[in-house]
Amino acid sequence: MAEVVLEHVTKRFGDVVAVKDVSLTIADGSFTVLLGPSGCGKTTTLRLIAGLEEVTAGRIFIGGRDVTRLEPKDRNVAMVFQNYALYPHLKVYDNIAFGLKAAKRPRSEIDRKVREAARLLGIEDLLNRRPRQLSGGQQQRVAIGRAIVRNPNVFLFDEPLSNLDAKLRIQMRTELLRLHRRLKTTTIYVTHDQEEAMTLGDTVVVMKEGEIMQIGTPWEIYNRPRNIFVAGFIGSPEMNFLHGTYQRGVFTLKCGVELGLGLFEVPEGEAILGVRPDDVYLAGHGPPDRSDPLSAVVDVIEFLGSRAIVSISLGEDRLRMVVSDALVGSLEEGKECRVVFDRRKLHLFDPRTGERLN
Amino acid sequence: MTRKGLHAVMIHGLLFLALIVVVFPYFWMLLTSIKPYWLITAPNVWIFRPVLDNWREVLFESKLPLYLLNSLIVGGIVSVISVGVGSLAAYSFSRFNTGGTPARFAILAAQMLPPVVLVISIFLMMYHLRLLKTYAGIIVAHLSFILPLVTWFLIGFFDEVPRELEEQAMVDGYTRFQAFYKVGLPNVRAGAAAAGCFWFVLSWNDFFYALILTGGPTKTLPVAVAGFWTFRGIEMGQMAAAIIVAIVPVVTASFFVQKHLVKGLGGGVKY
Repeated sequence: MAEVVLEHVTKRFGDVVAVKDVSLTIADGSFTVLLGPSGCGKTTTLRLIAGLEEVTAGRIFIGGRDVTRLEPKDRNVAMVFQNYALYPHLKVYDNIAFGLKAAKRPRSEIDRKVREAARLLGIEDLLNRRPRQLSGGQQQRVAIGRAIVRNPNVFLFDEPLSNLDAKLRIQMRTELLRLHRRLKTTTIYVTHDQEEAMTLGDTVVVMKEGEIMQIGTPWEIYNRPRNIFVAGFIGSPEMNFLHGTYQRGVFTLKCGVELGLGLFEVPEGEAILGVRPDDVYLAGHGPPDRSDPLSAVVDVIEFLGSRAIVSISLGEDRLRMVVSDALVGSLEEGKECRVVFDRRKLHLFDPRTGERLN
Repeated sequence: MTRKGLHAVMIHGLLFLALIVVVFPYFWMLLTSIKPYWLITAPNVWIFRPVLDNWREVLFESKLPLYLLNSLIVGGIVSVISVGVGSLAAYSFSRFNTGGTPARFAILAAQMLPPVVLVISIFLMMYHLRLLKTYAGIIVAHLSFILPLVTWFLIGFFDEVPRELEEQAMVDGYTRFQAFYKVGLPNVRAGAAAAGCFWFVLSWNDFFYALILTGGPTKTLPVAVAGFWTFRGIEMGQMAAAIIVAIVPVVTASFFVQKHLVKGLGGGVKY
């Protein structure tokens, strides 16, 4: 087990900067998720930690040891790739034992560890099969088994669940958490799936274009996004953004509609107001600390079962809100409705820098 | 007869015709090798009392067995070296993109020329290196055209092996070379086996280089076979027997490796 530290790490591929001056401390025993859209540098960051790519600048420490120039084999990390990278020419048993053989462990110890890992993952019956005879979920387990038998300092996961179907993904997610609780090995997990990030990570690192946008707990990332990118990237359906001007407690939309918010200690002037669809309520059903009611017109109702996503027009702006199925009956497309915002959950951003204001 | 049945009969009929066209020359040679000498020049005689004179001559009184051994030695060494060196080179091209795309094609540059263009320079080189009429000389000459082919062929196979396999091995505690050896190579073995057989045959069948670079005790089979064309005329019967001797090992070998060949030439590792 070990702490992982990245110090001003930069990686260039020719002219492309894949990772830009990233500094990050990953606590010993934590489950840290690197989250971002494709091409944001999260996988490259992981590969830099594994040693599969060489840093252009900066240093990497694992457990206090400078590993920047070490070969992957000398870093004592284990990695699970998106396609599992099981050796097709070896049986499951030998796949799992492969790393232990590299370490020249005695045969009895290898055997004990392989069987122990197989039992932990419920794949004891598969040890004599070849990888291609396994289902996606089983292959996944073998790949994880191969990682855990080595008892490494750090686990690195590169989108390990993205090749599984939705149901299996949720099941494996729970298993990964259970495994982490049990082994308490520092884990770094790359994904573009925010749901995975929120449920798995105790720390989430949001990245964009090679830079870290925010580091925080899932709660902080969701409730206190540091900038407009994080605010828009996290949460489904996506946060609503309204452009306007903030003055003396009133937010005026471009079309002239005024919203009485009156609570922020923020500089006055142009701003972007962010509000999650879950924080928009029908008037009369809002939380105690709410904004003044506004008139809006219902555009489209998308029914999802226990709730519906309702698109409404507020002057020229459109926004989406989540309405429970008990209330959605009172709405009709094309008809007017009155909505309020939860004032404790409003986000104001600087339209020039995109940074959070409140 | 159903439409489907008719279809099958037609296809099999066609295949049978093709088979006759392909097999007939071999059959004719076999026939010629057991004809008495006064019937050699009468190709239309099909019924005769077979004799084994030609075979006795070829197997026990000529040096053909020695030349057969020569061909085996040369072909074997060429295959081993070309697969050994070729797989390393191909790995480098595939994984590190050595020399970029132009290099991938440049290695085949020599193939664009007819061998006769190169043979004079190769002859002179061998002459100055005193490698004429040696195994080393003919092996090097064969490698000059077989090694690039093997390399080029194996690049495609390595390209199909996911990089992550070796990266996984490297994270798991192996060096890059061990990853190549323990993970990369086993996953191209079908291709490598096919390449090995294929190019063994290429070396085995080579006449042109062998004619110019070997001689005396290092002659290879094709040159020896041509040697039955003497100043007294063509020893047709003995030549036919010698040709069959030259063909049998290759046909037998390809029978055993055909599974690998089809798999190897048909598209690499299934992952």
